[in-house]
Amino acid sequence: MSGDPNRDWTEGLSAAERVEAVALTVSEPQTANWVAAEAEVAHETATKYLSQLADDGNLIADSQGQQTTYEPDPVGQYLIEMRELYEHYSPDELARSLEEMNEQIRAWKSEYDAETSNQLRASLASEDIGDERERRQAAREWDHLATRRRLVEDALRLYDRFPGEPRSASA
Amino acid sequence: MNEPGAENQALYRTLKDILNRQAEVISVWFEPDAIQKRYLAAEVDPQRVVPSTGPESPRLGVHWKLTPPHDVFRVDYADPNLDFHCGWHQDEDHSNLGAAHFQYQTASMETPHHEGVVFEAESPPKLLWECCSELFEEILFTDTEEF
Repeated sequence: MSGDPNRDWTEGLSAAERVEAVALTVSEPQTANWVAAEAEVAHETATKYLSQLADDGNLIADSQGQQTTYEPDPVGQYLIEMRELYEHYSPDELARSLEEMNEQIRAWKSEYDAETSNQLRASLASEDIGDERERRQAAREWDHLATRRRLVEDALRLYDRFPGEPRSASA
Repeated sequence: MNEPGAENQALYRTLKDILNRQAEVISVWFEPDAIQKRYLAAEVDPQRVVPSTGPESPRLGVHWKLTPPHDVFRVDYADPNLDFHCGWHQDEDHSNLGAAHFQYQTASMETPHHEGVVFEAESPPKLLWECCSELFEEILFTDTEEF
């Protein structure tokens, strides 16, 4: 398998792809040095691509400290995702999935007697629960679905706003 | 600045691309669908893994949540032909083994074997790449013959 040309991280992705993949998935602001090390590119290469990604609205560059840090632009990423939903799914498909997500969240509320994911997390402090792992997983999934639900609602509003321009093939 | 633990819409999109680039992977999709994007699943070609397996396609599953300083994730591989499962997990389970652990179970084992693991990579795409490389280059290639 050592002969596989795509096996290495540095051979499977180009320098620009590695910088983008790393920079778009950081969970905390990071410097160009950090991104360069993780992407295995030269500092100058990282800086060049990071600047481009910031110019394109994919990253936020913060130069207030001693070093410039980069992190994903949540608005830019949110808009990309909303547009994808709007362009690939009909209003019926979005509404159906929205209802599934609502049902799942209702089920968690009922099962764990919690109104929010944070209330569910607070229940982890209780000593008499035997399903800690399930509760942690449910709280994480709850946060995720809450975000996806907002995205779908916003994509549906786009259909309301531009009713004469259906973008989905199945609309 | 993003709120700690806020959902990052680029995360799964990036990880889907990483899985798609694996030579052994036939297709990648979201479960239960690309609207909810609760986790990633991939079909592996049973003829492209070494040693080849079949006739059913093995599956890869990837759950990931950004939670600084350590993300919570699970990368799981299951081959129905051999009843073989393995995976890299970084979660609250088996914290005695460190932040992350590798586990596997073969048809002859009653319970999975767990061992601590330390990754060179720190970012999700590179970590996933590291897991896939180890899976296809080492775990399947070498270890399954010794299990």
